Amino acid sequence: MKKRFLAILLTVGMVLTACSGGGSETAQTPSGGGQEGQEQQQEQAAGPTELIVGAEQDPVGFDPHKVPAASSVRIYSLIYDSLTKLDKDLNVIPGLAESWKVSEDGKTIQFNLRKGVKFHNGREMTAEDVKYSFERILNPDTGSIAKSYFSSVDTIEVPDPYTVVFKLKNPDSAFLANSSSAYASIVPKEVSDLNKEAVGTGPFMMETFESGQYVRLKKNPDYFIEGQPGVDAIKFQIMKDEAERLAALRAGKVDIASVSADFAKLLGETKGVTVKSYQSMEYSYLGINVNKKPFDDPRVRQAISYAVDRNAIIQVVWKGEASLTGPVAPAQTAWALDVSSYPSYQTNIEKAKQLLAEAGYPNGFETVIETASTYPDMVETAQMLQQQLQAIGIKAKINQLEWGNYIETWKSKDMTLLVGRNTSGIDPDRSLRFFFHTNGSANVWNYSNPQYDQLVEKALEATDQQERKKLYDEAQKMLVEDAPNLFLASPKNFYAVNEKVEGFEPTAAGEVYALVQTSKKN
Amino acid sequence: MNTFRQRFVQNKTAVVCLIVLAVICLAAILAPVIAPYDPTQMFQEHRLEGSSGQFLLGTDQFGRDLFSRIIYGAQVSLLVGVSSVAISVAFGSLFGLLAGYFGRWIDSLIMRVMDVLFAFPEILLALAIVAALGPGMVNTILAIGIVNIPIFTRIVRGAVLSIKNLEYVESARVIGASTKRILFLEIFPNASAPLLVQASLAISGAILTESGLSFLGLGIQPPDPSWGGMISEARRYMELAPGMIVWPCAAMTVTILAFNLFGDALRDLLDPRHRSK
Amino acid sequence: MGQYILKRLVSLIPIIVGISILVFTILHLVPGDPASIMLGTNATPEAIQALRESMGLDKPLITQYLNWAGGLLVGDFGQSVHTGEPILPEILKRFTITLQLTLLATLIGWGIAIPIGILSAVKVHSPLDVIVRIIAMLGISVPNFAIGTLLLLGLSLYFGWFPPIDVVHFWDDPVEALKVYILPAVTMGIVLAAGIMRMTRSAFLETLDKDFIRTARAKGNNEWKVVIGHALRNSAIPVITLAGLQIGYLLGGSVIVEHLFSIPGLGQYILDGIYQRDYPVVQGGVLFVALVFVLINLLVDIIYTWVDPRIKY
Repeated sequence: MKKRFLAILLTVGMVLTACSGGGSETAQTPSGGGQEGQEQQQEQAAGPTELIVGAEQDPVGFDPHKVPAASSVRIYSLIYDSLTKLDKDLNVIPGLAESWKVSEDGKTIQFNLRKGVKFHNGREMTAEDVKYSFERILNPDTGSIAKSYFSSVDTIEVPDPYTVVFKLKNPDSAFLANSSSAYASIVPKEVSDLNKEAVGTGPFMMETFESGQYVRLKKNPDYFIEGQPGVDAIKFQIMKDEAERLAALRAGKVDIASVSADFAKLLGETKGVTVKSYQSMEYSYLGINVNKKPFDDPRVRQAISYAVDRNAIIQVVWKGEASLTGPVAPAQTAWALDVSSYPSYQTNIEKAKQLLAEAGYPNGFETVIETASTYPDMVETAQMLQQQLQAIGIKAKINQLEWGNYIETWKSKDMTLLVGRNTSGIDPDRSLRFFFHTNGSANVWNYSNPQYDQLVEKALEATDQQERKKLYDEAQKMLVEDAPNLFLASPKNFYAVNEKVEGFEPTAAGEVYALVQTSKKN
Repeated sequence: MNTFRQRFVQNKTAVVCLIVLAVICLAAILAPVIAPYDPTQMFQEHRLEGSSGQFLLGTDQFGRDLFSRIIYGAQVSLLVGVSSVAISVAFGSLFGLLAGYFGRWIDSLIMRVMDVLFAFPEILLALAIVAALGPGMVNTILAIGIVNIPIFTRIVRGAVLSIKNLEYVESARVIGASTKRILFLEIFPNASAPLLVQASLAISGAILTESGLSFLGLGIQPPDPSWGGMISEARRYMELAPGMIVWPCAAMTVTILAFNLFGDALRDLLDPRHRSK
Repeated sequence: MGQYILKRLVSLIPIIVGISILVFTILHLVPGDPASIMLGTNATPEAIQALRESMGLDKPLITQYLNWAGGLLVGDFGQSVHTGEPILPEILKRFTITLQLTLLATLIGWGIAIPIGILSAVKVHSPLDVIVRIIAMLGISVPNFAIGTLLLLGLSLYFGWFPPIDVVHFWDDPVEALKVYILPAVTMGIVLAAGIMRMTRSAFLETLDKDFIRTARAKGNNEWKVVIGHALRNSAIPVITLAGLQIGYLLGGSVIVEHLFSIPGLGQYILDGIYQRDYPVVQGGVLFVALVFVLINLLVDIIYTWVDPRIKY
């Protein structure tokens, strides 16, 4: 009889061997990196160090000019550099540009580039690449997310291989800050499809990408900053389930993972794991398509704003580890307005109902809230909003989208209600013009208010900080009143870190700067 | 029939299961009366609490009452289980009767189609259907209902084949009873015993499939409470509030167990071979 | 025998055609336009039109089916909308993973179930038998994702153990592979074992009741000799039938388990296809599983004739 059972197993086994040809295929390698990395790893006696980051989401592409998804940004910003970057206190410091000079009238900016910086394919990065990159960003056909960052650019000149001169149409007080964005990465001219081939100048080079499983980056041995990065490789292990990330972290299979506040508390007591936190510049929002009925009526949007209890969301979704926020996150202390100056932040169901009735919907209506299925905070926020909106008769269905579809939906400008998260950025120009100016690259809400546009344009050109502040104050109030988005909460971010990891100090400046300085004991 | 009742009463498993099922059904039907709270109502200051006088089984991450959610979850599970099996039984019986009674090409056609349906692992076919139709209660019911049609078709067809040439059917035919009458009044009632057994088992299977779909986020959508969806959500909070995962699992296991055992006991009672013992 | 197999293979052809029609129909008779569903309701009309043309969705349904089926015949399952990569190589790669998982689960399931099932039948109505029956009943009543969740999270929480993150093949590193697959395999194996245990028990009870067994006993044979020598073979048929059906359960059930344990198998591939609305992937994946299922059932049928020569075809 045993023989018979064996026979069944064998026959099934035959099917197995018949297909095993596919299994031995090597992973797809989108980079042009070469093999030095592997050889070098073998040479090192102590063994190469690999930092494993538990990532909540698949990247959806690697073209820094085209892909705005956070899951992609965290990876390509390790592969590319921009002209400038931020230090941990959010000051603009040199990146690929060693120094820069802004003219008296603020309309000419000259960047002097670092010499001898090489792309991962071995070619030296020159001013021509900078020009190419910015022209690519500004070309409407590229569909670049950073286009509106640089709308003041008139011409780009290259007097010599290490100098780039930007001539601006008007003074642009956010230019330097915006040039530090990963969206403004400097890319090599010769690569045509940056989603297939990731070639930058950054501290890490693309090694392998297994869709749905992991992205492995290896150290760029020629990185222009001495001593960086601190590890030989970084692997972003995609683990969509938070419980699983947590379990893997505990068992030491993952070195770094972002966790929610609930787990931060739990992990604080776990041996071998430390929790790092910082007040982020992110905020969660409810985005409203102002072109779609009934949301084209500002009263409906205001009604929603009055009906939503932001404090409850902070308590439930963020476990109290978040602050109320306006369009500019409170971490940007110099610019953010005190939220008590926004009347609609007081939950007021009566007022909300009245506004709805005035708009012609005394009994509410049915609608859809879309959100990304794998970010629990977004799903929970959507559920809370669904519950809170019921009080004024708005019946919302929640549509949880897969990440890639979610990003597409966001870009489409044709959603209804969308729950998501934004990063405010260090200059209010991003928070206000990038997201809500009629031509803002990230204004996917079809919001168009000439008065508002004028305000943020004037603020961009203003060189006097006092005056800028006044203009931005007014813009923030106008935005909250008009409510193309509901700004809900600006959370603290938590990372759980294995004790073997050294030097990982995440700040609001972003994960990249922390990762580059991180090292790991073997 | 009297003897069946007597034997039923003597079968402890059957009686206990029937009582358990009756309690679950009553709880589901009377959910608005029994449940202390609205299953979607959030008590923010009571998140992730354990059992207490106020919240019998504790609360979830939104501060929703788990007890109320589980009771309403029973409503969802039973509704999906019973309606999907009703669809399967209705279509399965119809196809089975047609195939068994008329035979020939009708039989071949129907049975080949059923063979094709049988070639898919249940949950996969249900997944494919839900993928096409989209998630939600109605689509979940439809998907599971379609998946189970072939089982019932085979059972009814088998029963028809075994009795269609028996004397009483012949005599009905001789008196000139219409085909419809013969099919539904003479033949069908005799297929009802195995049908009943299979239905009981199929309901438990349907509840499992629904919970699986909901667990994957493709079945019942929040905030509607579904046991599978609750377990899926609870995974994140297992450590902080074990009750969130334990109670829905327990509710599900008890319900499915009751249907399975009831089906088994029913089979023992109705199966002629067992009857003779 | 050879003739029988041939006959069965030929009879499979209409079934396979039917399967392909069904899979195609399910995913094409969707209310609405498949292109706009795949790209999301919010895609631009140009993008939708482009996809429609590239996938031939603007052609009549029957032409689309014939194109697809024609491709299948030469091993072309089409391309993923999401990655642009051909589907079949990915299916095969993923299937090797699912198959390893399925085999291990089968081994575990049978390894537990058959001895215990036999024991339970031999010691019928003993306390052991009662306990076994209760556990078996529980086994088929607890959803596998609940078992899996408790296993995975419980082990990491209380024992600090977590399976290796990267999938390894058994032929590359058996020990590491065992660590990868053991939890999901146990999860599937438990449900499997419960079913087989019940079937083994009842099959043995029935056989042990037969005349020839009584004769063997009456001859004064040792009870175990009776069981192993006579009853085993005669009880094999229902157990094997169940095993065949269960492979279908495993291939389908692996969707949830793979998802739960992040195993990048075929089930996960199909599921990602569903989440991403990548219908060519779903279509290809589901079709592939159904084909494998049909073939395995054929194998099981063939094995019947081998195990039980009384069955004549």
